[in-house]
Amino acid sequence: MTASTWAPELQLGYVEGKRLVRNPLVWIAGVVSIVWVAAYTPAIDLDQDRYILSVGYALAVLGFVAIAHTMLAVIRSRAYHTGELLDVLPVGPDRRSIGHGLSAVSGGLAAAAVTIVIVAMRGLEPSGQPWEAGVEGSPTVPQVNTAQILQGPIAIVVACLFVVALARWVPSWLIVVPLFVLTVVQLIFFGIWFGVATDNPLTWMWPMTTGVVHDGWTGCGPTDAICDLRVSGFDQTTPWWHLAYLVALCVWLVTIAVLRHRRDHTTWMVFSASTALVVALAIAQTMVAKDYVPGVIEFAVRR
Amino acid sequence: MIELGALVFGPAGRRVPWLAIGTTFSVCVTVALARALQVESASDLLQVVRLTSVLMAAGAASCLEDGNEMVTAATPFGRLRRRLVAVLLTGLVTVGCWLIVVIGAAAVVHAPSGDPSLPVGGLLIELLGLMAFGWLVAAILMNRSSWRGSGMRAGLGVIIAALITITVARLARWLWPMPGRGWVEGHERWTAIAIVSIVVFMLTSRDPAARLPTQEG
Repeated sequence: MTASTWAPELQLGYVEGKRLVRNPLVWIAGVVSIVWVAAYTPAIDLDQDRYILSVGYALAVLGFVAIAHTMLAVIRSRAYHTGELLDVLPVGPDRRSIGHGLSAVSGGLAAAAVTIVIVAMRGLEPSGQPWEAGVEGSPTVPQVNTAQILQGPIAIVVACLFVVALARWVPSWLIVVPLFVLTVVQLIFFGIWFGVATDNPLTWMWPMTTGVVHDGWTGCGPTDAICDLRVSGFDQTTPWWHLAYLVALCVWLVTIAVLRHRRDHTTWMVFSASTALVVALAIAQTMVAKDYVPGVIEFAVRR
Repeated sequence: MIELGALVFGPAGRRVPWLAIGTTFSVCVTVALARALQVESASDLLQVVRLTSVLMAAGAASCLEDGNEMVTAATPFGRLRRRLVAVLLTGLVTVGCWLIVVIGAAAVVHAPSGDPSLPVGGLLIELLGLMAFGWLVAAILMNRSSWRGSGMRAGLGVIIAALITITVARLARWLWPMPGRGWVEGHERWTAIAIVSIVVFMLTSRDPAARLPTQEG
């Protein structure tokens, strides 16, 4: 298979991707994300808020705009009654689905640009700084790692691909209703409220997860006699597995979209392989998260 | 009289976005009941009711789409009046469905006696403000491009605007206050949003062929 075989998909992906990136709403959403993080005030807000925002949750508005744009792009032929015109092209809806899938990458790139600005603005604390206010000196708590920073943009790509697959099977703008509910659930029940324990397997199934390990470390305040204060920090291993899971999800979702119009041997093969990979990685990340052992923390008992 | 009513409300009834309202109603009922079974106080349903308001307003925003406008534009019943009838009917249906969701969910909660109830009045003002904003966005979009697709874009506009107001802390405090301090002021703002939106909507919906009123009349 030569590069020219894929030329229509690449071209459609490029055109739709460019439309997404040039959409003024995407720019406004990016600014909102940055303002959201900039509004963080160290004296008032919790340190945790900044970490949670930097692992992708600040991209909520941008993500939803990208979702809405992708949905409108996929159902455009139906909404404007131009499907019959497009059907005379030599490239069928199955290959156009792949093109729409490729355009999701631009949503990820836009999210990556905003993430870079956010990280540059606020920076990340070097590993070893206390995570919770009031706990000074020790302990050495691992912070958000690169995998968690990458989680946001890749989660946006996954969300856009989910919409491509959904809109191919349910070609109506009303899918935005359950999508908004899912966005709210992701944001509130599996996100910004950082009290959610990550040892719940469901947490890792969602595109974004905080990666917080509750009470994994022990520390103390400056005036404590005994160092027995439980401190939360970040999982350092599972986020990498989670990234692999998200990439596998991308392939799986594109295959589901293609299956709407093409059910040949190759598509079923890719679907089966990607399903097996998604399930395997989902199980793997859950097991790793459950068995994650925080680094040994040395603490001194003050006398 | 009955014939006149059928002539006016029959076509208007067909313009109510039944599918959009039905879909949002189904999703919202499911979410609200699921939440109602988890909480122990009706006041804990506040965020779910607000989610319902946003989604139902987004669904209602598509009522201005009129594929027959090419034909009806030639009738003596002007564009503003046609739109007002569609908006009125859609508003009534949406508020009815919203009340069913809110009252139904509040009834399911196993709340102890003396539990503070949901401030339905204030929440209803938020719904009306959101609906008015949605119709305004739809009218502006229809003036800028064709009617086709304006409803769904207006619906998405309502949802995205709501999402933005949640994430910008100051806007969230202004528009989505919790019961108590700031509640009255917040709903004064919602009332202002509703009034301004309706006025601009009416100005935007004037028949493009109609002359502006002059002193001579």
